[in-house]
This record gives sequence, C-alpha cells and structure tokens, in this order.
Amino acid sequence: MGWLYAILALGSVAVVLAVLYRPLGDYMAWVYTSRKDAAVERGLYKVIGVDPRAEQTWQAYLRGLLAFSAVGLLIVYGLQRLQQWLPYSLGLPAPSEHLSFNTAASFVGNTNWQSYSPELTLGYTVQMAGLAVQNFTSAAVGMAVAIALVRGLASRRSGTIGNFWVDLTRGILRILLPLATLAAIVLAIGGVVQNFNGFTEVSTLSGAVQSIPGGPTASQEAIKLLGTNGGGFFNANSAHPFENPTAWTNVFQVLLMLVIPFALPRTFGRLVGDNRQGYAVLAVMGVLFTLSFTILTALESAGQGTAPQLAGSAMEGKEQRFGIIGSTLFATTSTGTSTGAVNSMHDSYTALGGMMPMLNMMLGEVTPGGVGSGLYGLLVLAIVAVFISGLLIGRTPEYLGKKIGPREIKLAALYILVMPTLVLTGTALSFALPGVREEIEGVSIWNPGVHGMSEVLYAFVSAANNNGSAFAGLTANTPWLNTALGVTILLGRFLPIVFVLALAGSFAAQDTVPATSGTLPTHRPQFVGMLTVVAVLLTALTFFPVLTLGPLAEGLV
Amino acid sequence: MRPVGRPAFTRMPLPSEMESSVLDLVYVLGVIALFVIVGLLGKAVEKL
Repeated sequence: MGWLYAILALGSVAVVLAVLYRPLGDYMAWVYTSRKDAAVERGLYKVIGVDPRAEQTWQAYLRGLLAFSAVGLLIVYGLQRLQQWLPYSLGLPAPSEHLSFNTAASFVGNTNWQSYSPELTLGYTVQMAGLAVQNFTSAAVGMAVAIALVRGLASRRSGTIGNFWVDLTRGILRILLPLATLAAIVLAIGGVVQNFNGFTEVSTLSGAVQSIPGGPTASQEAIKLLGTNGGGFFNANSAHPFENPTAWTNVFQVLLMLVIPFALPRTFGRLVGDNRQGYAVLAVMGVLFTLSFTILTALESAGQGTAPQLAGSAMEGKEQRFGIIGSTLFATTSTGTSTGAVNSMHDSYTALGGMMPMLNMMLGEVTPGGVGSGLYGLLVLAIVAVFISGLLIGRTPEYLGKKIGPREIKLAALYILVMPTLVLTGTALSFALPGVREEIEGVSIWNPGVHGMSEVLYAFVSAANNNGSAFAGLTANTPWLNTALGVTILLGRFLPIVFVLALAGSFAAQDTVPATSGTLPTHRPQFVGMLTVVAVLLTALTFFPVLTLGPLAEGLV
Repeated sequence: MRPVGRPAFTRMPLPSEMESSVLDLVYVLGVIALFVIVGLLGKAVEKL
C-alpha cells in the first residue's frame, strides 16, 4: 500500500510537471529573448539608468550582479539591526550582529538558512521588506546566470552575453511575481494564514494560555517554494500547520519547488535551437530525483528498532498528516532543488535515510537544482562529461558545437572544486580550531558521537550548496557557526557564478563548429547515462571519506 | 532651538553599544571586502 501511494504521489507530480514543461519552458524562453519591454520595466530602467538594449560582456554582467547582491545584503543587514525602530516589529529587539550577517548572507545567497526562530526574532517589516524581497531577487539572479550561460552556448562570435539588469527585471516581473501571486492565492485557499495579526492569546481546555501566531504567511510561502528559497515564516517551516496545513497543500508545495527547475531544460532547448538537448538534461534530473526518492522512501519505511517497527515505519520527526511518503517526497524535492524547506526533521531520519538529503545536496544541487542554479550546474557537469567521454572513446570534445578546450575545462574544474572545498574546510575547522571545537561540542551539537559529526557536516553541505535545510539537532546561533556558514554561503553562491559567467563569455566568443562523425551526440540515452554516472561518481569520490565518519558509520556499524 | 541655561544632554555610549557598533562595522566591511575579492577573482579568471 505504501509503495502504491509512493508511485501515485510521484506519478501525479510527474504528470503535472510534464503538462507544464512545454508551456512554461517556452514562456520563459520568450521572456528572456523578447525585444519588447513593458511600461513598468521601461520606467524601472529609466530610474536605475540602464539602457535595456545595451548588451554586456561577461565581466560587466558579473560586476552588475555582484554590486546588486552586495547592496541587497547590506540593506537586509541594516533592516535587521534597526528592527526595534521599524513599524510592525512586534516589539522584537534587533538580532545580534553575527545572526544578522548570517541571515542577510543566507537570503541574498538564495539559501535561507535560519539560525533563529522566525516568529520570535523578526517582525513583519524585516520579513517582508528584507527577506521576501530577497526571495524574489536571489531567485531571479540564479535564473539570469543560467540564461547567460545558455546564451553563451547559443551565440556565435559574440563579445556579450545579455544584460543583467534586463534579465533580473524580467525574471522577477514576468515569471516569479505572477506565479507567486497565483500560488499565494491557492495556498491561502488551502488554509495557509495571511494576515497582519500579532500573537493571539487563547486559553486552552486545560486552562493554560497559548500564543497563536499570525502573519502574512501565504504570500511568503509562495515565493519561498517557487524561488527555491526555503526560509519559513515559522520555525517549524512547512511542518507548521499554518504554513502547510493539509496533504494536498503538501503536494502543491512540492510542485511549486519543482516547476521552474524542471521547466528550464525546455527553455535551454529552445534557446539553443534543439529541444532534444533539453530532454537529455531533463532526463538526468528526473532519473537522479526518482532514484533518490525511491531509496529514501525504502530506508524510512524499513526503519530499524522497536519504535519504528511498532509504528510500521520510522515516524519520529515526521508529521502524521504527511506520513512517510509525504515527508520523503518533500525532503527529496527540497534538498534536490536547493530549497531547504522542511516538513519533517531530517535529523530524526534513520542514519542512512538522513544521508540521502545530504547526498542530494552533495550532487551539487542538480536534481533538478535551484531555479537557474540547477540548470547551470548540470550544464557544467555536461561539459565535464563530454570531455571524459572524448577521452574514453576518442571523440572530439564539443558541446552544442562549442569546443571544450583547456580554458573551458579549467573553469568547469574550478566550479566543481568550490563546493567540496568549502564543505570540507568548514567542517574540519569546526572540529580543529581550539575554542571553536568546545563551542561546537558544548553548545551546538545535541547528539554526541558520529551523529553530531553528521549535524555539522550537514550544515556546511547545506550552506555551500545554498540549500538552507538543517539537521534540526544543531544549535547554529553561535558566533562561529553564524559567521562561518554565512561566509560559506556567499562563497558557495558567488564563486561558482564567476566561473559560469566566464564560461558563458568563453562560449559566446567562439564560432560554432559543425557536427561531424567524430562529434559525440549529447541528446541520446548514452549521453544521459554518461552524465548521470559522472554526477554520481564525482560526488562519491569527493565525499565518501567524510560520509564514513558520519552517516555511514552510524548506519552500518 | 535649545532652551537657554540648560546643559545639553550627552550620554556616553555604553560599552556594549560601542562593542556592537564595532562589530557592525566589522561585518559591513567584511561583506564589502568579500564581494571585492570575488570581483577581483573575476578579473583573474580572464587570464586562464
């Protein structure tokens, strides 16, 4: 019965995504190639002094992106530090400096790691003017970078890759804002709260007093999921009944997380003029997602020990209204899309089950990944796969008619090295630095031994991949973790973007070479298999040693 | 206009407030430095 439900849940999600694949993908392709600007867009360009027809080199594109993100970060930091003087602050004081930095970095970096309890820390002004704004802009930045790379692949002998300000504006106004508005209405109909009430004191039947929170949740929830952001309005995130009340809102939230990342391959196919290339990328994303969901569901359904066997499955940390399938589908989606929202506590998963969300992130967030970041992550892997295939079977290293030379391989290699370096360095320093180690062991880790190691590892994997989910057992609101994770988030977000935009510039400058008998076809099942294997092998080779110190040690010993 | 004959009220900042301002400055400058370094890396990448 459980497996039938799993197949039905996955199947229904797949059907809806399949229906939306072409119209949404084509629409996004039109958004980023249209020559017409809406009146509101023209007004915005005038205000910020941008000529929408002026194309940018990849360096100028990068400079605009970095400047925009840095200013956004400082604004969110300032809003938090001035919270007590802002309206609708609910009487809450300003968060500490290190927490404000972590939160600002996290939301600007599309991570939404939360070291704090939102309803007890941030008022409505900071949540709406700071965090919700970044939910839109950080998602649009990711999409813009992906589109810039695709443009690079599609263009010939061009010195430019588009205009960052135009891509950003269109991503927000034409894609995210309309879809988020629609989604917020559906969520509100489904019972997600949407008001400006503070806490309401009520007396329970036993005579105790309970504080019921309110707030503009549905509007935040929509973009939290659609933009693969993940930061909850409440501490319990999507496990909170005011954020995710029922089984059908749970499935709807899963769809919101997946809809843009799974439609972007179509946009890619359209822009490079070969839809089969989009299907190949989509197939890799789909295969890895399905495998991960199946393994996680199997591990959680067969939890060892007295309590799981009496309950029929490992139900600790899971909501009764979602059950195993509703939880594992959400966890796979959330960690495969760099969203980081949770409707169950990953820390309470079985040892090997808890490793699966970690593995989803370690894959580099490509199953299907965050909005934009999933597509550009997989395209970088495709470049590596083409190169390796060329070495294995003697084909010329070309992708979509672009030569994969030493420069392209160096950039792809640097891209791939950033994330593991950040994860392993951050985790190692947390246990190696005197003073920090005492803080980690004495304050942050709730579970001693290898599970505690997994908690710290998970935190850095989540930060470096801009996911934002956490093993709930880790107390991260400390000066070290807030600062180290904040820096990890920023480097994990912007260093790869540097290499992707450099790749875009490099491809754009090239002419397209015609396909010959020596060219490796990149739209066939053979290449889909190769790309899947490359993604899994790279992850396994990089992270196997550290996994043996954490979840593998806990699960197999 | 300040009332005549009444001394201006100047409160010395508390040590915790001063410490907080310094930390604010450290984080703000740190963020700016980090973005500048990433931007410089972009320039370095051109030479690859």
